[in-house]
Amino acid sequence: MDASSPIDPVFLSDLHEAGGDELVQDVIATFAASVPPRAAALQQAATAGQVMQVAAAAHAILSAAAMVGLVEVEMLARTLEDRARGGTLPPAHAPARLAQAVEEGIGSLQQLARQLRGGGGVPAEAGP
Amino acid sequence: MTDETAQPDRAVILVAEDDPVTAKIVVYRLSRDAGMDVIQVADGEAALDVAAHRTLAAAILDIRLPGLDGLGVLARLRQSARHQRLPIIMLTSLGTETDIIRGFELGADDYVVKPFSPAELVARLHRLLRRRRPTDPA
Repeated sequence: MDASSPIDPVFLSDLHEAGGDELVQDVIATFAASVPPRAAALQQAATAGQVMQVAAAAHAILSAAAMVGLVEVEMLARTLEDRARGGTLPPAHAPARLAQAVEEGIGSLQQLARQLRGGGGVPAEAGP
Repeated sequence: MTDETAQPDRAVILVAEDDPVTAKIVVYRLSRDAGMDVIQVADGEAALDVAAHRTLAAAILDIRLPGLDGLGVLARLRQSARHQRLPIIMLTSLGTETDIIRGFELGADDYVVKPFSPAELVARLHRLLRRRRPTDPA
């Protein structure tokens, strides 16, 4: 995998192998339905100075991102969680950056799903 | 709570995981690939409620659950004679070694770190199930 790629395609490829396009689409839909609201909640918590809520939301986001191979989202969320568990609120731009990465990640997942559906296997890189 | 259609000859696995993405992947692999019945809950209190009322073959507990966390659920289960030998796998995240150690101290049988391979989780569960017998009926 390219170290700069926002997604590790192996995770979605494994899902495709296990359950085909139906499972892949189901998991992407679940991610798209559950993670953006968490990113919005994180932004609100950061604005309100609620550091533990920031940590909880960041942890939920990183868990979901890790399971589908969204490495950039995972890394950003992990940084926010670590800071928050240390009692520090994120920099002002960080929650919005995470929310943007989540949206871009959903696009990357959908693109990768199309490649897998087309029988292309695991691409060397997958990105928006 | 997700309760896959129960069949008498299939092992019933409790999955306590509040992340819908992780839960969907785990439930799919356990029910479709491994032929297990899965009851999935999203918080610790619900996990204890299921454990009190259903006969379980094993439990998979996320450590970071809302409210009563996975370690709290683990501790409560091990205080119960019914669940002292119940195979329990903890789900944790990178950088949480203290949680892993605490889990073993409280009686966890195994753990996997997110992101994990669902196939590895199933393999670890099968290994534990071969070693243990299900809990006694309620």
